[in-house]
Amino acid sequence: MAEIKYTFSELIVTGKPKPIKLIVLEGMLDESNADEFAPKIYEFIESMDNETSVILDLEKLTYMNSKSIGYIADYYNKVSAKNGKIVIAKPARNVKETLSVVGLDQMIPFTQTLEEAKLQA
Amino acid sequence: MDFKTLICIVLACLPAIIWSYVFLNRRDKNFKTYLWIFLGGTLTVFPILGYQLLYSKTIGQTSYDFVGPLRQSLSPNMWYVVLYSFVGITEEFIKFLIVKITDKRNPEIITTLADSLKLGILAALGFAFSENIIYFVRIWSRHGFDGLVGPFIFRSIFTVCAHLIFSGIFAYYYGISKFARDFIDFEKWKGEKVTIVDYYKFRRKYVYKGLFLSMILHAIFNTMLSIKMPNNINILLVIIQVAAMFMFLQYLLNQKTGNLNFQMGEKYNSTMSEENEEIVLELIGQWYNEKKYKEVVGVCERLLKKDPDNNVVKIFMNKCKDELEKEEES
Repeated sequence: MAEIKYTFSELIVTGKPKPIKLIVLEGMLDESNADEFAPKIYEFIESMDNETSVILDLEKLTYMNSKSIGYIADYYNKVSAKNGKIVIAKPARNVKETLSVVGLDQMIPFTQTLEEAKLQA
Repeated sequence: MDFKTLICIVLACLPAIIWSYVFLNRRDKNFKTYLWIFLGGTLTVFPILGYQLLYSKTIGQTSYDFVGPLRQSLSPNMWYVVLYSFVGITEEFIKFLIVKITDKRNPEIITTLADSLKLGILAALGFAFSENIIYFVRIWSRHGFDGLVGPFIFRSIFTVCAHLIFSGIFAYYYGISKFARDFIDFEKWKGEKVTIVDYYKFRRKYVYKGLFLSMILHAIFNTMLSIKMPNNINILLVIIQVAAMFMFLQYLLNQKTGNLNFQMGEKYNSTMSEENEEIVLELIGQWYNEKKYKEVVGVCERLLKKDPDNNVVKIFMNKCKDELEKEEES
């Protein structure tokens, strides 16, 4: 099974009254762990207050399979339903390419740095 | 050449010109090749004529004649079923060979399913042209020019159209078999389990399916025209059959999948890594199964910018467009 590490935290950003959550992913999301991992994010989103934004830090995520990309589209729907925003920060080149071809960059802002992501969130 | 034959040739030209206008696009790039296929099609009447001649001069004259006793053992209608089924099947097989040989010699001609269909139509048009000349001369000789008017109208409208449709159908399926690798890949990305054996099975399956369909339809058509039924109800059935087949062929010609341009050859020029492209194709397959057709079209359009020659992506995109059109219509 491929390894995936994750951390959930809350960011305090001055000048941003709405809460921002940070999810950092590290490792690989493939057929062996994508389905197992997805519910953790769903639970996290469920537990969030309305109007909470999420920054997905993908700097250390080296691979995403098709299912994981599908899940990201679904996270976007869930967060949007709670009037929140989702931002993808620092995606690796290959991950960014696939997400862009799929069209996620048209719904979700991609940023080069975490600071930019905080401003977008 | 006598005057009667000349007039019959002119008469046979009329439906050939009109139907080619209906089915074939005049802006087609392969006009010269199409003309050769038409001429090839005109020769396909000779195997049946040759068979008749050979039979009457050889086996028919001897005690080995099996056709005479067979005819005597069957009722007239049953005999027509056997005879015209044989003729129809043979004709379709010969026209199929014309399409296959043309494609093997000039594989660049068929790059879409509609191209393949057009090739079949042209071969059939050539065949119908020759057959019409033979029939018109024969009918004029037996029943005079006045007796030719009715058969001329019927044959020009229904018989010629039917011939084009029979061959169009097998040629369409021949086209699918030609692009078997891409259609198999399409199945694979949809989540079907496929092996290398499936590729060969798929090719054969579609060639046989097309041939079988066209042969059966042709046999039914010939038989219906020949048997005697009360109030000529058989003619009405023939007209219904041709109308239904015409609509089916128009449907095949108008489908986006039927008109997509397949990249020939093995090498694709993609600016995307193979691994990333496979991830996207997997997702396209999942979304296609979930009927997210609009989303799939969007992804395919973006992917084709990076890999413009990917036939599988083109199939996905056009299938989805066909589905979206169906949804809009309903």
